[in-house]
Amino acid sequence: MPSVIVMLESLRLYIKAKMPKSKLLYRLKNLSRRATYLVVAFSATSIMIGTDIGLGASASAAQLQSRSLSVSSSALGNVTTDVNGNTVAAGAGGNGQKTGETFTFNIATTSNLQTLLIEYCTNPIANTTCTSPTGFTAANVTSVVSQTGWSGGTWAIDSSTVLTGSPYNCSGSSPGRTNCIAISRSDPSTTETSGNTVTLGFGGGASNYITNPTTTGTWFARITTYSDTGYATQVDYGSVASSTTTQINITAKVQETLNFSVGSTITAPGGGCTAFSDSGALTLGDSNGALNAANTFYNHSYFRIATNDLHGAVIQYSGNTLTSGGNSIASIGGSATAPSAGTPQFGLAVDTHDTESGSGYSFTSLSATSPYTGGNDGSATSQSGSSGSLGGTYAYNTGSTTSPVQIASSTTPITCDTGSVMYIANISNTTPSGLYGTTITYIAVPTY
Amino acid sequence: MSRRRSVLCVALLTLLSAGLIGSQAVALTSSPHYEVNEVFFGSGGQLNACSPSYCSKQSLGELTIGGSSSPNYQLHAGFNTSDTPLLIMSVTGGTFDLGTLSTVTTASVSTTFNVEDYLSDGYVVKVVGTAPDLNSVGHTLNTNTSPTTPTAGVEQFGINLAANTSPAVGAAPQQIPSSFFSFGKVAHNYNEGGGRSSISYDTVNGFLFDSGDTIAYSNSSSGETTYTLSAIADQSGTTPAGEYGTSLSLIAIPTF
Repeated sequence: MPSVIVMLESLRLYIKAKMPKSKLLYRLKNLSRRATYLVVAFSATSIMIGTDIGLGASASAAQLQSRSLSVSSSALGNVTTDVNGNTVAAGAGGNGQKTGETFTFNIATTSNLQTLLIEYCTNPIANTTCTSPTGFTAANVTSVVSQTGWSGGTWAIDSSTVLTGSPYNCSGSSPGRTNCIAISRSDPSTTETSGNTVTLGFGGGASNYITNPTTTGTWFARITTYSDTGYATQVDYGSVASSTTTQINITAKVQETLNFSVGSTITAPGGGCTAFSDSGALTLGDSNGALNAANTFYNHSYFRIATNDLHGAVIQYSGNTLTSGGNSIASIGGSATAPSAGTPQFGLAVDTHDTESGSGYSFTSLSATSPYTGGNDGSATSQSGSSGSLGGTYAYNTGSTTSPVQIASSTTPITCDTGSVMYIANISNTTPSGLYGTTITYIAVPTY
Repeated sequence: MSRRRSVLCVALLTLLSAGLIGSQAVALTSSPHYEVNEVFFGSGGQLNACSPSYCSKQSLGELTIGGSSSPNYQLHAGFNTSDTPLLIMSVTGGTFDLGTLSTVTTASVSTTFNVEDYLSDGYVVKVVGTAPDLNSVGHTLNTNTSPTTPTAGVEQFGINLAANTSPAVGAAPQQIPSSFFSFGKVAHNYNEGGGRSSISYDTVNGFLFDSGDTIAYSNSSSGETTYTLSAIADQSGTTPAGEYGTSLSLIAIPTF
């Protein structure tokens, strides 16, 4: 009984603070003469108190226990999009216009329930004036979407009973009640037992929904159960609270990044996707740097790329074939072609076999573009050399000098891809002597 | 019983009656033998004194404030109590910009929300939404469902309600006016059910996000608690470029 002790102790303090003992006794004597009136007064007061603490509900209505209201969204009733402007699905947290609600409570009184009324108000006290929360409407509730724990029967929206006017607080005519949900039961003969935990779910769909208030703040749902079909005989009562709030919008920006490098000496990318830093020069030919008609000579260069561009990037090349003054070695052509020793040819292709112990070709996001997919010197490690019957297929487009030609591409961001480009050169016995050379430029084009 | 004692009993009964009239009481605690109602002992006051511009709570000569509880009862004393079921939740909403992310620094923002819940068996606060996503292209920042220390260069979005040191953002919950009155807690090993059995949003420097998680709660009726919600984000080298955004909703669910 600790609470009672606290109350009485406080009362005694109040008396001592306000009135000297002698004066108090004098007044008590006077009061005793009017004892009859006091008893009458106290009785009247008790009646008043009884009215207050009953929350205004029917004298026989018990209070629903463990009541709660779970809403799908606390957003304002006019919110349907997120901070990006994208439409938020009905029933999701960011959609306050089309929300769902689930009521959970324990039956207080064992009874046969036939109807149930939920009134949405700005205060929780039953049988008092109900002001509907601003902007709130339950007019679009078309069904009971979930109901669990009930002993039997099925709850359904009651769209026929008129619940306007005292003692009800429903606005709008059925079924378009804006601040009430009324449901009735198909099998009223089933007894609901005290203590039974039950749930009722409403809305949350695109066409079956509840709209939150359009102002922030607390609002209440008054739940009343009835044992009759006319919403007249109350069984249990209880109110629950919910709240609409502003949303927390979080934004951030991620800048585009593109790291691209080329070189002719392979180096490992490491954890940071280390760029190539050499001059990029390479030689086609024998140990003296000279071509001959008996062999196809080859060499490799490399490119490395990392980008967070959402749609990845394309890799292009641009440059002429090998030239020496006014002479040139013919391009191998625009289609994938096998090299032929003794026939003047210059071409290139991505060598997917040149893995160089993990440091050479390594495409995860990129893929080579036809006709540049067939480079193959038959070795995973050799960077340059010659062969009388070199494998693979190659191509070259001299038009790339004015219109860069795609050699590889990705449609997704690239963490760190390394490309190995294999070059081949052949000459005939009539190819004019000279110092042949070209500069090929690689271009990475991010795709936004 | 002497006449004097009779008179005293009548007087006490009358005074008790008068006190109850003045309180406009709602029964808080009762048994077949006793009942405790909300009664104000003091010189006076007004719970909601409002003008068109503002409201205030006023009291004079309040004898005691505070609260106490045991597994079997909870008692609130003081002027700042309410005689009707109450839920007040306010969110310092708006747009919070994490700025331009980088692979070397963790970005962070914070905001606050307050919950006050009276004449209830407690409340939970859930967070609902998504991690920031890239407008119309489908990429959403990675999240963790358990507290994870932010690592620069590793894509992550997360929130917590703790006083973090790295990054230095956030604060522990504040009980208003004091911990005698308010009991809100940040979820710690909270059992959400449905596979979420150990949710902790109070881990210092540990961030997570899972829509629908309970992030704060009180197991009892509680005065006002101010929570600080912090959000962090990191990008990786391959986090798609663009402008990210999300709208988070905080939902308070009291049980009465």
